[in-house]
Parts: sequence; structure tokens; C-alpha cells
Amino acid sequence: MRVDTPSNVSELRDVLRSAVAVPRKCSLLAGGTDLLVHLRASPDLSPDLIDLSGVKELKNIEIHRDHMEIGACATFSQIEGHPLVQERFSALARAASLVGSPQIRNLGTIGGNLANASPAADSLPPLCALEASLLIENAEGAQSTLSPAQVASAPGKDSLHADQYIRAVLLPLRENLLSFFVKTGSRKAVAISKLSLALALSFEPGHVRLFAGSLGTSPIRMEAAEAVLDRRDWTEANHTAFLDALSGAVERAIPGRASLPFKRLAVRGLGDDLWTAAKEAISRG
Amino acid sequence: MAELKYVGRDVQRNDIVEKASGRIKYMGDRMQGGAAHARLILSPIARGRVVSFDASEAERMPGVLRVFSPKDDPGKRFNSALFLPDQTDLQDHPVFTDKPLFVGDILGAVLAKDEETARAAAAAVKIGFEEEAPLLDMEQAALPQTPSFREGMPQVVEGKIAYGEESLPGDAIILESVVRTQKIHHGAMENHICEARMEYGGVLLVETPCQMAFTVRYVLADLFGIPFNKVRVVKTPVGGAFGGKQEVGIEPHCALMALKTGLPVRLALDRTQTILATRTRAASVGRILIAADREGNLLRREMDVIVDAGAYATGTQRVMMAMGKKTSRLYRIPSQSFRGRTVFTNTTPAGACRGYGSPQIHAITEIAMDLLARKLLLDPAEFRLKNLVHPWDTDPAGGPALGNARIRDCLVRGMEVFRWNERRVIPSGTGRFRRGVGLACCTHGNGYFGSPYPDFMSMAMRFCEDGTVLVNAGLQELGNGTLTTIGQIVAEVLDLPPERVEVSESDTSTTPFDVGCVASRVTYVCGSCALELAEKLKSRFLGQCARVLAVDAHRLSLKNGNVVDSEEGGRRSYGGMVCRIAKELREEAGEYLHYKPEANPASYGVHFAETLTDTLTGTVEVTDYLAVHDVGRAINPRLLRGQIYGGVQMGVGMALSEELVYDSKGRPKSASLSRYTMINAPSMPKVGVLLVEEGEPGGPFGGKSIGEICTVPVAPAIANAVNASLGTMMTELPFTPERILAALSARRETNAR
Repeated sequence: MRVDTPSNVSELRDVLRSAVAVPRKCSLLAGGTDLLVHLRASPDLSPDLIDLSGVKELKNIEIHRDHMEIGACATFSQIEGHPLVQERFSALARAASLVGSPQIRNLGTIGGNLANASPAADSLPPLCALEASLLIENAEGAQSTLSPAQVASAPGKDSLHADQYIRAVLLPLRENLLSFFVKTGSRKAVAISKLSLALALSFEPGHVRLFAGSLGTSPIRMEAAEAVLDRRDWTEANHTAFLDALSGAVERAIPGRASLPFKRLAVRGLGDDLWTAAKEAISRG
Repeated sequence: MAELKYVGRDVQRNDIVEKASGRIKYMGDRMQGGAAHARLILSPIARGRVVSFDASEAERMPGVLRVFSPKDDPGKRFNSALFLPDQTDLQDHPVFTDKPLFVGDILGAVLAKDEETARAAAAAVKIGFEEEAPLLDMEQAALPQTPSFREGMPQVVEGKIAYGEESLPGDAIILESVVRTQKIHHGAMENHICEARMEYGGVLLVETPCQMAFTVRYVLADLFGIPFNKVRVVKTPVGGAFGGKQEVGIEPHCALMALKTGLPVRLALDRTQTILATRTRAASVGRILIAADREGNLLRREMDVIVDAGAYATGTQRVMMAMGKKTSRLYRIPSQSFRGRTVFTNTTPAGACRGYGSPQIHAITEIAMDLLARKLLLDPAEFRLKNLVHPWDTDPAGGPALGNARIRDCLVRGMEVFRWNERRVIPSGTGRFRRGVGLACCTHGNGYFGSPYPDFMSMAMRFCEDGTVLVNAGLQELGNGTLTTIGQIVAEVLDLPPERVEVSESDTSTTPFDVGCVASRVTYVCGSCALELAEKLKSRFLGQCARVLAVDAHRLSLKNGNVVDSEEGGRRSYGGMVCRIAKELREEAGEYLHYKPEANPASYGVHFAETLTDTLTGTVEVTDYLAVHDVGRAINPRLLRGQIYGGVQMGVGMALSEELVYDSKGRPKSASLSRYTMINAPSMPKVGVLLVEEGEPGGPFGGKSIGEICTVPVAPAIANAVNASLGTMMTELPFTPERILAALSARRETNAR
């Protein structure tokens, strides 16, 4: 096994170019919290590794005029504790704080989480709700963008080419944006999501994005529920309509699945959490 | 009794520095090298036949020493729980099989110069199978028409315990229910590991973190036809066992490889292999009928329990009988019948697991007791108080007398501390979150006395030339503090600081025989042996001192490391006297004791739980907890509390989240710790502990067992709290969010009709 340890983006591109030229089977190693477990369990797979942990440009979290840029190798601890992420993109900060254990969060990265393409990836629903796009770069330095929902082509499979890597997550800065993330798993902490919801909405009606995680390869947008929420009608009747819309969306997303009877009910609990949080935040002003 | 210096005090455990600093060397901490590394090849199918075994690619890999296949199986079958020839448990277990009976059954192994090579080579062995449909459902497995998938072996092994009149009064209030308990992984931090090598003189040395070194010796000597005195089993530091290391596990495989190659062999399993290929807590289905009169006096109970052994017999039949034996020792019930059926399925074998059937049978009976209390419109605590046993009761089913059974004190005092009466009547609410309280009572044993398994042990004890004491015993420290508490008992009698007492662990070639760290016998049996032997040694030592000093022995006493002469007033150190005894009497200041217990009283406990259930997501939080235990006497209260905290943690998992589940082909869906949900710190309640210490005759300073019983009532206590708060009658463990929501939906539909 060969392991390359580029220390900056330019070296990383060189390594990628030579890997593609041969070509040889390569895996990008970010935090390693999923990849190393996977490789250890499958000794027949023995890919060469390109260790991204030394690539300094990938670790930064920066604020630009109209967007925030989170380097692909920013760890969940970094994201969870970043004051501007907390302030402007609280759904993402919250989701990051609920990933695995502190040890996992100290190593696990947002880019790795996306490239690992797990349907239960906690960062995906908030990124979708927050209209994030991914900055993809190839060995020649050519850049393109991809929506977070497009990274996974199937559970466990990413759609990137062999010479591509995720450079950063770009989050547009919107004024007066509120966002929330809730999940349910098999225990309070260090739990794989059975179901999650991420909501982003503006103070004034007109902008609502609500996505559910762990229902499919990529997060599912809950449009009917968004419409109900956008009425900003906090009555009991509308509350019920919101929860019914969520249940309906789950029923349409996973018909016939063994987990449907549970998820169509449990989504109401997560929905109730979001409802309460959104109502309080908006009425607080 | 004079005030005790060491017993009843929070003496620091003997290994605290090594364990807290990480310096203790578990077997997995040994550096690579010095041994060949073995990796097991496990069956990926639940039932079938190996039709081809192609190891050519693996054998070509550099560093591979040998590949073992089903052809290397010695042919003889063993039972991993058996330790004397009169024991009739089915001997059905091969070492390497060509007819796998569960996913995880051991087909072969690769031996290589290092672990990585062994792993890679094991993955490169190509095996062809002819698959058959697995039998996974234990109720189907119990049907008379279900054929056995185990050639020439019975599909069902039955046992019965009954006493009293079978009839029921016509006006009895009857509750019938079916309670299901799940298959559970022990979850010890240390995965299974073992090392075997041939020593000088043709001795097979096996080092293993085990609970019963002499059982390992028995099985290995019997299986391989080696003289018993040429098999030396040495117990190594255990990183958690919980019954999972009670039966013989991977030692036969490791020993076979060492015997066949002459090489030292280290065999280590990873987590998935430990989950798949070792042992589990047996799943059970219990049909129960309880009859009481209108006032709530129990009249009769009938239990028909199916216990899932998995694919091999192991010790599950014993677990099943142990379940039955608990049922006549908690309540006064005029008549009762228990029928147990051990059945076989194509799943990982069951076996010993903390409580040895007690958590299962108490889940069945205690959940049903609450459902009957509801039917009788009685407070579950008052209902139990009407029926609980009293101190010195006998066991109507013929088991040993119950001893100083203080369950009633536990319940009464626990109700007060938990504020049961007040909290029980608080409405659970009508909103999304429902709060409720529940309790469960339980009993467990103190050894093997009165069972088919002989309970006895021997120990040697001697003073060394510096006055320190060496206890030579076949003990097994499992992390629970055995060595510390035995040391405290000895220190108390011989009056020296506990850190000057060194207590050994099992080495079958050098320590006297002991059955093992099983059956909750260590405090009551081994502790009593240590106590009696320390008294015997004290008497011999004082006599020797008297002869050396030419005074009457009555003048002498032991005081804080010194021999004190009450008349002359002189103080002489133990060490000094040991040297004079050696020189002047040509004697050792040592003794030996053959000990056999003559009783097996019951330990008791009551646990109280408060739960908060989210009726929308189905998640249950245990928000408050109190464990009350009749321990006779706490030898080391802090260690005892530690046992209870851990027991509650395991029990919360049984109540809410832990479950080994299989798909329709018998492939486990939870073969890793990310999919098998154990309870971690954020999900743990604050656990209050209340001890009832009324002294148990026959136990050291009145002490009796805690290690197993503290996990026994947890699941039913939590289940009862959840059922009380939701108005449900859930009886299938664990209470996962999925099951909670399904029960709530079912209740809504019933109410709507």
C-alpha cells in the first residue's frame, strides 16, 4: 500500500494526476473515521491512500462577502464550535454537534462525511436546507460545483471522478435566516440517525426549505410541509396540518419499506420539535 | 462484633493504578511477535455444507504459515460448559466444521507471521457452499413437527419444575401473557483472545482471559486426549467478561493450532467476530399464567418458557433450568409449574450471560406481575408486599433454604427513598411526553450448592518472611474487585493492611482447584473459604509463635502486623516471627483449606425506575433510578456500587435498545457496535443505591452476592414504568422506539373501536 501525504493543494493535484495516469486504485483519506473502519473490515481491498489531513487549504472556515466557505477537511468539532457557523447556520452547527462521539468529531470531516455517501450522513440535510453547494476541483485545478444531494449516487457510492476532490462547502449568506436540525437515533448520543429533519427559513414568509435525512440516498425535500409552515400560522390546526404533511411525505418517500410504520410516526415528533423551535424564534423576533 | 478495620470499608482496589494509568497488560496489549497470529474463518451462511475450500491463494501469500480447514477438525465433539464427566449436556460442538449452523460458525483459520497477513489471507480463502434454509424462529423451532437440523441430536430439550396442587379456585383472577426477551451480546470491552504454546515437558500452556480456568482445562484435555496434568491453563487480565468468557470459547481452536504446528499461537477476534462467533444471552419466550384472589394473594403460577440455544447446546439447558429454579424463591406461591424447552436455531449459540437466565425469567414474571396488579386494581408494590417471601423461608420446589431473605426490607425502604406512593399516583400526562414509575423485584443465588454441580474450592495461605501474606487461590478477577475483597477479608482476620495481602488467580498447574468465577459464588463461597482459612492460619501462626517464644498461645494476638504478648507487652513483627519459626521450628507459617459451602441462600433486589416517553418519536429516557439490594453485608461498598452501576447499564440496554436481529437468511443485522446499541453515558440515569445489610449466615462477615443480581430487575422495572405511563401492555423486549410507536398505534385503534 502506498500512502501520499500532500501538504498543500498543489501537491495534492500532482498526486492525483499521477494516480490517474497509472491508473491505480486510490482512496482519499480525510478523517478516516469511516474509511479506516471499512478497510480494516475488508482486507481484500487495499487501495493506495492519499492523506488529506496535511493539506492546509482544506481546513479553513472563511467568511466572504456573500457566502461562507468551509474547507472539506474542516472537522465536525471545528464546525460545531465556530461562532459564525453557530450564528448564521445553526442547523449545520447543531448537526455537527450530533455526529458520533467527541473523538469522532475531532477527526471526522464534513467533506469525508459527504464523500462517504451514507444515507444517514448528518451534515447532508442541513446543507440542503441551507442551499449549500460543493466546490469540486480536479487534478488540473478546474473547478465546478455540485449540490450536496448529488454527491451520493447510491448509498456508499460517490459520484466524483477519480481525479476530483471536494475542495469546500459553500454556504450563501442570507439575511435573517433561521435554521434548525433535529434527529432521532437509537440513543441520545453517538447514534446513527434513523431519521433527521433540517429546516431553514427566513423571518418573513417566502423562504422555507425543509429536508429529511435517512429516507433515501439523498435528503428528501418536504415541499408540502414547507408550504404549511410558510403560512406562519401557529394555530393547533396548522400544527396538525404540518405534521400530517410530514407523515405524507415520508409515506411517499419509502412506500412499502419495513421502517415506514415507524418513520411516518416518528417524523411527527421531529416536526413538533421544529415547529416549537421555529415558532419561538420567530415570535421572539 | 468488634469494629472492623477493613471489611465494610472502601479499600482501594488492588489494581487501580495499573488500570487507571493503562499500564496493565491485557493480552491484546502484548506486542506482536513471539507467536504466530491466527485469524478465524467464519461461515457467511446460516446453514449448509462446505463443498469446496480453496486456500491456494492464501497459502501463496508471504508470511502465511498454515491454513486450517474443516479437515483439521479432531472429529470429537465437545460441550463448552461441561466440567465433569457426569454432566449430560449434549456434546455437539466441533472445532472446525464443514456443516455451518449459523453465520459465524467456525470453518477454519489462517496462521501467519503477523495479524495483518492472517487477516488478508483469511479473506483470500475461497469457500463454496451448498446452502439450506435456516431455522431462525424459536417458536417454530419448538414445534414437534420441526425436524432437527443437527444430525442425530434432539431439536428440543425439556425440563420441568413443579410443586403444589394443580387446580385453580373458580373465582381466581387470572392474568395470561406472553413475554419475549431478546438475544444479547455481552459487550465486554475486551474481545475474545487466547494464546497457546507447547512448553517444556510436553505441557500445553493456554493463556486466556477466562472465568473458569479449570473448565477450560477439562474441555481441552478431554477433547484432545491429553493428560489433565499436561494441560496448564493460566487466566490473564480480563477486560470484561459478563459470562461471555465463562464457557470455553476459542481456546480449543487456538490449542488445536498450537498442537498441530508446534508453534506458539495467538488467536484474537475482532468485535464483529466476537459478536458472531462466541456466545450470547439466550432469547426467550415465556407464556405465563398468574392466578390471585381478589385481595391480591397469589394462588398459582404456570410458566411455559422456550429458550433459544442458538446452533449448539453449550450451557443453555443449564440456563433454562436456572430460570425455573428462580421462580420459587421470590414470592410465597402455593402452587406452581415451570416447563422449559431449550430449542435450537441457526443463530449464534447462547450460553452464560450475567444473571444466567435470571434477567430473562424475571422479565417474564415481573412484567406479568404488573399486568396482574393492574387487573386487580392494586398498587404493584402493595401487591408484591402481600406475597414476597420472608426471612428464613424454605424453597417449596426443594431448592436450598432462602436464608436471611430481606426482600421485604428492600421494597419497604426503597418505596420510602424513591417516594413511590407519592410518585406512582402522579398522572402521566396527556401531552407528547409521558412520565411514569415502575419497579421490579428479583432474586439470585450464591453458588452451586443444592444444584447438580458440586461447589467447593481449596486455597493455600502463607506468611512470607517479611510478614506479607500470599493467598494461593484459583480465583478469576473479572474487573469486579474479587482480589481486593478477598484481600480485605484476609487482612481483617490477620490484622494487616490489605495491600500486604497478595491474592493469586487461576493457574491450573499451581493453584488449588476452584470451580470458577460463576454462579455469583465468589463472595459467598470463595470469600468464606478465605475467611476460614485465614482463621486457620492465624491459629497455626499464633501457636507457632507461642512455641518459639515459649509462652502460652492465649497471651498472643495479632495486631496491625505485629504479634503482641498481652503479659510481656512485647510487639514482634509478623516477618520476624516467620523467620524465627522457619529457623527454630523448621516450619512454614502456612495453611491449606478444603472448603465446601453448606448453604446457598438467596440474594435479593428491588429496582425503581422513572421513565419519560416521547409518544411521537417513541424514545424512552430513564430519568431516575434507585437500586435497592439485600447484600447481607457490603465487604467493599464502593466496589459494590460499581457493580450495581454497571448492572443497571446492561439492564437499560436490555430494556430499551440491545438486540441481535437477523434477516430472513440468518445474517445478523447488528454485528458491529455502531448497529448494536449499548447504552452509553448520556443515556444513563443517575443511579441511586440503597443497601440492606442484615447479615447472611455462611457468608464472610455476612456478605453475599451482587455481581449478577444487579442487572436482573432492570428491564422489567423500566418496562413496567413505560407501560404504566402509556397505559400499554407491552411485553416484547427491548422497548425500541419502533415497538413503542406500534403499541401506541395499536392502543389508539383499540380505543377508537
